Amino acid sequence: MFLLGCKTPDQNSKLNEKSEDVASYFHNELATQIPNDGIVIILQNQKCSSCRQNTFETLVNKYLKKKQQEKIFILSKSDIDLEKTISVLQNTKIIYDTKHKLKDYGLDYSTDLCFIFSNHKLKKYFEISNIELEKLKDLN
Amino acid sequence: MKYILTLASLFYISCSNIGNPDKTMRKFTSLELNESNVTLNTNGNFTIFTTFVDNGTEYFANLNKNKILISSLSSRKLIDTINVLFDNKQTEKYGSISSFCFNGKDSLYLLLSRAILFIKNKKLTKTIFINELDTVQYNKMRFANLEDAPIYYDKKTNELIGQIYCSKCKQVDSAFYKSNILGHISLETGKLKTYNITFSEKYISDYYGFANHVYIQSRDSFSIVSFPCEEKMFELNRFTNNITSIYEKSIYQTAKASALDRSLSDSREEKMRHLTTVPYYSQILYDPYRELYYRFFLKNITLKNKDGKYNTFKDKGIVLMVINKEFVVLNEYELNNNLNPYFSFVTKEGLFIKEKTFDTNDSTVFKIIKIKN
Repeated sequence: MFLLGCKTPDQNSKLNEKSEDVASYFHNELATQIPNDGIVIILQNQKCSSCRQNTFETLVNKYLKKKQQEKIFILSKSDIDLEKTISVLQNTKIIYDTKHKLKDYGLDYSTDLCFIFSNHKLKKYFEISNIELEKLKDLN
Repeated sequence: MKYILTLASLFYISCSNIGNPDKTMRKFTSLELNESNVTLNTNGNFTIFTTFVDNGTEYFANLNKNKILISSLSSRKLIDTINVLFDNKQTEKYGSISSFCFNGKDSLYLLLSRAILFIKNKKLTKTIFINELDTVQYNKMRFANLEDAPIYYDKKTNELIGQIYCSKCKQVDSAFYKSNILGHISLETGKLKTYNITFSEKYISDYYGFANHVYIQSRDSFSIVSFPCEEKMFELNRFTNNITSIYEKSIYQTAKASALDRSLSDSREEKMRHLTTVPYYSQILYDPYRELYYRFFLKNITLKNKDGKYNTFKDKGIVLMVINKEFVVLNEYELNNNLNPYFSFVTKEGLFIKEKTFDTNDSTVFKIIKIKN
């Protein structure tokens, strides 16, 4: 049981690294701090926005709707379809990375990302894909 | 007995090394390198292009907005356009265009996801359906330009040469890399045959994530093949089936290309980080006018730069290796990062490389590098 609850050193260092990356982006580019308890979702610039719409809707409906924490969405530019989907959620904020600074912080690998913060710490982060969304029940 | 010998010669594939299999042949040669710029009207940005010669005149052609624009490389002027706009029904039937080539100005071959179309004097005259799931020859493989392997029309055999890949294999499994990568389709019979050339041993034994592109350039009876994390390049003589392997390592490669753990194959982030940092060999071109090969090398870089910011693939320094016909490296040049080797080709004038621009102009600027022995 204890073993199952532990993270390996590799997982921990990866979480620390990503936590620092997100914190640096918030501090340097947004002049603010990462949320103590909240969810940060990065939606990258994609040629085919509609291609990820189903996956994103699954994330919203299956997971985010149930969460009371603040949800911060970082978009590369305004996107009507994504914003419409986000609008069904409460306690949200949308930020636009118009200067394309995410890449400087290792946060732009052409994949959408979700970061879950709890008690001032990054608890988990994952690439938003159908495979990862299948695992989401572990977080509920 | 006669038949056995004929069959044996048909299937016989020989492999040979030129020089030491682990050492690059070098003969430092001071070359005269002249640079100039040229602007072509491409009607905006494009990704698919080709060059060809017709009656001694060189042409550049690019696909843009359902049109193929043909420019004369001597006058720099747009001289013709070919409409390749398909209606919804045709698009569903043929798929999307991934490559095209010419055999003279009036003969155009289009490779689409589900068909090869031959357009003569701007009229569709032949259709060969490919990649049909229910046929034996496409049961496990696809004929497609995945990105860096444009099709080539072989006049001698009346065939189209192009990339093939195992469509039933996962890219993380070695089976994908053990499969043949080059095929030829007869324009007479429509049948696909494959050449016995696969990814290199390095790729069969280890996993290199997104750095698994296949760079193929074909000319006459030869096809040159290169893989990103492989110092060796390979030349297939399609007539004799002989593969020549040549070790051509850049002097700017300061680290070995590390392999990725196969367990990370689902992580796009890990694969992108690997792609950004590893030494990377990209396009390889043959210059028939100067009898030289040009091989582009993108330097291995650290994950973060001096300012602590993350590097991206675009931050990799670009190196041009100049190799003679005996595969001896004559010299290597660091190029401006503002150039994009993906858009490069050779003409009488020299090596053209597109400049990276993000404007919405109708024209495209190329740098011409002319090398004199």
